Amino acid sequence: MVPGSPIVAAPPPAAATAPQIAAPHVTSPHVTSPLVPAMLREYGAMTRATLDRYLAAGEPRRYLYDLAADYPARGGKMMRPSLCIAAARAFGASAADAVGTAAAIEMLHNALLVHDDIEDGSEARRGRPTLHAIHGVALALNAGDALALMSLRPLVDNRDRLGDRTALRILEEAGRMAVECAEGQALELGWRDANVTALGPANYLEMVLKKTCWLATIFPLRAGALIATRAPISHDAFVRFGFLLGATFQIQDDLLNLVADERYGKERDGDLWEGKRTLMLIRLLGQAPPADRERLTAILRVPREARGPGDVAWMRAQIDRHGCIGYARRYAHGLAGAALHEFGRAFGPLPDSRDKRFIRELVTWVVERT
Amino acid sequence: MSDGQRYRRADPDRDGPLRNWSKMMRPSGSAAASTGSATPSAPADPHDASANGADPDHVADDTVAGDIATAYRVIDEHLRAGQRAAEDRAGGRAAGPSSDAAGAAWKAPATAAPIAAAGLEDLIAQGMRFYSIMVPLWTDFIAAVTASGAAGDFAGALGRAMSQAPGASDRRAAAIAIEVTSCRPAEVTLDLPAPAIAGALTIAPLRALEPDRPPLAEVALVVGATDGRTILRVRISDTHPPGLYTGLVVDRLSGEPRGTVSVRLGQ
Repeated sequence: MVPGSPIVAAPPPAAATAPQIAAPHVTSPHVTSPLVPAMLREYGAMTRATLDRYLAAGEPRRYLYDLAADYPARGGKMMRPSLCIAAARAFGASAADAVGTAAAIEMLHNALLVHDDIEDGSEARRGRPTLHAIHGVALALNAGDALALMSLRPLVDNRDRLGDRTALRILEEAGRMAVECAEGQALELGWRDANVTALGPANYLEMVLKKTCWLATIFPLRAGALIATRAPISHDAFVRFGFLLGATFQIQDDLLNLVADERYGKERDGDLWEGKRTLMLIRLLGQAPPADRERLTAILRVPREARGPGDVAWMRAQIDRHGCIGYARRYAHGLAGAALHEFGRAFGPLPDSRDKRFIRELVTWVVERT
Repeated sequence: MSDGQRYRRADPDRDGPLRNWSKMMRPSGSAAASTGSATPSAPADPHDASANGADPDHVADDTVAGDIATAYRVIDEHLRAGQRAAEDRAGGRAAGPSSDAAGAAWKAPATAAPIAAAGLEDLIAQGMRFYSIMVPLWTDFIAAVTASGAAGDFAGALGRAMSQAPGASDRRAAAIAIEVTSCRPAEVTLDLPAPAIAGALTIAPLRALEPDRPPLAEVALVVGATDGRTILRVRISDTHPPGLYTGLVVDRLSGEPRGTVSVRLGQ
């Protein structure tokens, strides 16, 4: 993105089946938002305090609880729990009503990171070696399982504060979200396993919708709204907004894997080493001349261990050569504009608040972050 | 047009909708910068306007519009799939009022009979309701009887159990405080069947049947600054005519009515 240029709310094209509602073309007022980092810190700290209670060390610490607490202790953006708390507050609930659900989201997110790192053979996470690199696959896998199961506890405890009905509905939503995540991860792993190369942006978006968006944005938004309203209202608007925001987030995440500096905290070019079907790689598969495409397919066919630095460097050069990074950036900006439009539909009728502004400015933040 | 000559509007410059909002994403002339790190040696690309002589902005517009259209197709199909899963799960019944297309919860396993699945789920839900209501009641009842041996304590135990039973917080959440500022007697009635939180609802100005009476406009649902409670706040000016004023409580998102407020203002 050109520094200083605002992302503009983009209504869906006429061909889209989404209801055509006139949306104000309001530019994002803060291209570099001070509000988003401040609220991520505030709600992140609130979530961590709750998380610590649920991750209180027991025995066997050395083989389980220390491992389960490792990734959460390394920090993280805390975007997911913050989004949940902000959505609840934007609708009039208190932060205390939402912080248990926010903690559950963060626990499950960290559990899935442990498993993802094993599945992807990743080496670094948040600036340190991955959990399985330190403790071995078996113990890391078990710690991930424990973290995922422990994330149910705050959702059950919601009964005390939110009542049975709302707590059960949030659990139902969480169940749906978990299934979507697993399906999305299966798509990504399956494509790599079977070396599927006939993919387009729609395939990528469907995978991202399931793998990333449900946990990162859709569930936090829906749960937040549910906590506050408790009424049977349609939450589909949050699915659309959450999808567009989450897909923007994922594309930017994939871009950072190729272009970010050491602050990124993950393995540089790790996605290329792993043969992940990112938007850039899918674009390259579609744009490369037949001979290059054949070579690319052959590189992707072999397991990660058999891929050499020369292979990864060649893929990286092809991505530059075919303008795939610019293509993905443009794609992310388009989705961010559409996300701003959908934000207006999901949150527009609510009174102005710090939380509402935070959610809106998050759209710009996800494409600006480095 | 007495001379028979017909005026003719000039043909438009374009033959399709103008979707050039993406130009606003970057300063004019910075298209190259915004398209990232494509090297000068990059081969011809159908999306690369300079390669095929097209107007770069026009091509970029169409490309971005196509990208967004793809995204909407994906999410719309996802929502439709959720709706279909909900209908399958309900065995052909319409989705319940709490179901929306995406949140239709679980997909029915392909091998499961939908009606059986729905029956089992209903049974589980019924069991959970029974459990959540009866266990605290029964526990407190036994505790009360064994502690005092007096049957008269049953009512007290029942009351305590009801207030502590899971779900009681739902009832607490539904409690709404009412603040009335008026120098004259005012009877305020709020009829709100479902639990509600201030941020989700709005209240239309309360009107009297008599058209000459001004509406009561200072009526709002707000969130208490200290305790987060939902408060119905009514302010009535000293000169407002007496009478009965009514208005709707409306869901901000859907626009659907959720309840009513009425104020009977005395002399």
